[in-house]
Amino acid sequence: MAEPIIAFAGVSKWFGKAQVLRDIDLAVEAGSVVVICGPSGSGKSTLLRCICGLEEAQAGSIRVMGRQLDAKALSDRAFRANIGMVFQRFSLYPHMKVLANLTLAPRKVRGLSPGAAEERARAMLARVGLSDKLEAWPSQLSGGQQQRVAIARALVMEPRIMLFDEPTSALDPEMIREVLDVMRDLARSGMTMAVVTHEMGFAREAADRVVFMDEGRIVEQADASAFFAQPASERARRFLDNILQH
Amino acid sequence: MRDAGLSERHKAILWWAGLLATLAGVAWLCRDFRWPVVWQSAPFLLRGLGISWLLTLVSVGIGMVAGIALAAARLAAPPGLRHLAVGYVELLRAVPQLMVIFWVFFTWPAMTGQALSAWAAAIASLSMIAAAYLAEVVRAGLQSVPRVQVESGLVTGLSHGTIFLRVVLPQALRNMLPALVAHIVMMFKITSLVYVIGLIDFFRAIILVNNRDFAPYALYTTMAAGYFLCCYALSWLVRRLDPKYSLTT
Ligand SMILES: Nc1ncnc2c1ncn2[C@@H]1O[C@H](COP(=O)(O)OP(=O)(O)OP(=O)(O)O)[C@@H](O)[C@H]1O
Ligand SMILES: [Mg+2]
Repeated sequence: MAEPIIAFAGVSKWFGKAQVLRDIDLAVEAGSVVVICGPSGSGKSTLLRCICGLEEAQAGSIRVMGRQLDAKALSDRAFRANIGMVFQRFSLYPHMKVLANLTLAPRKVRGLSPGAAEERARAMLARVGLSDKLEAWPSQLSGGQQQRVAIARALVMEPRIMLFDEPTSALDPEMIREVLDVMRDLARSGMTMAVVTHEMGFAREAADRVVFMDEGRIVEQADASAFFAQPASERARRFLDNILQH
Repeated sequence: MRDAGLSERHKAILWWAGLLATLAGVAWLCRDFRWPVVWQSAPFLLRGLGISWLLTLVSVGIGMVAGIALAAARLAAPPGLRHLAVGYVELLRAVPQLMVIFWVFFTWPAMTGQALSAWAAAIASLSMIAAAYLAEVVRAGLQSVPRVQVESGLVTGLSHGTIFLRVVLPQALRNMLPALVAHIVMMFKITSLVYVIGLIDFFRAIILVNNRDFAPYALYTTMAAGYFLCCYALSWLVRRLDPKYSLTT
């Protein structure tokens, strides 16, 4: 069997004295979609941020794309750019038009010519359904459009993994759908994805695996169908009941 | 907002009418001042004004570059360098500005055995002062940029240098524009202190003419009008740099 594209073994992390990740073991197969859920403060964001190197764990080992995430890997910027990340909000550069938002990193990190970078930017904007927004300022876009541009900006780097940290939780309900549609397409195209979200409809439909976290621990991980049929742990069951009532 | 049903246009007309009436009133009150003294000394006074502008623009230019470096050091440099930056900024802002000018002018020759021209001393000391004050303005601007902007750059593989110059600094400059205007205006007024080392800026030029011809009312009114117009022009100029995009998304 091929090595998982993301592999955590015994990973722990502290902020000061507070332990926020406790002995995490996690394996994500290439091409699969993992949804990470759990109550606020359970360490979901921290887990994602460890994958893309925004946080460093203090114990255990993290391997991504077959490479140990040590200081050397983290300073390899071309390697890091293979892991795309979409944040909750405020991530577009407000002083650059959409085109410049999309072409900055391909030119600086991938060494593309301006023409080649623009071509790729156009292709990715088309993919998220925003071909007509190339010349727009971020402030002229709706929240949902901004998130789709943020996804396109990650995709122009041609990442092998895409991480999403609550990409729809700052959006009005009518905009959530357009963003989730883009993510569903991406999942269907075979992208490896790790998604922190409370959108259980999306999880049910698009996820292969579900990871449930609480107090820095992975309480339960299971195939999505099994998890939604009947979570094994009492805590996950209560969490699901709570969320589905809304 | 609409008060008393006045349109924006009418309000503008009223505003200008009020301003002109005030100016006319002031002019009438000042009609007996000895204005010819001002006309006769105009070239000398204008030269002083030019020196004030030159010193302001050069010291703000140098001070801005140094201020950005100091602010970056204060926020992100390793401890030794960071403490140096903090120490410099706090010291320069704590001592009287006059003292800095004196100190540079007299201490440099004492330390190196080489005389320093008044010009060099003025530019060096004013730039040092501008750097300290602007460093704090820049620091506040840098801190106003959300952390996720930096992280967005990091996860796409951008270097720290590119993130600073292309992502953070432009937004910081935009956010600090009002404070920047205030500090540039402050620098324009501080240039009047260079008289202590013998440079004749606008302030000093007025004093010298008054010592010779004694026309304090006309001259001091001219000084007030000159400083007001220049400071107003400076803030207008800087505000014109304000780009059109909106930072709130
Ligand atoms: N930079 C930080 N410094 C100190 N503590 C932090 C930091 N970031 C997160 N924490 C703490 O770590 C814990 C886990 O945070 P994390 O953001 O990973 O949770 P989360 O599951 O993403 O929560 P949420 O659903 O609210 O986003 C929380 O208790 C949080 O307060
Ligand atoms: Mg979170």
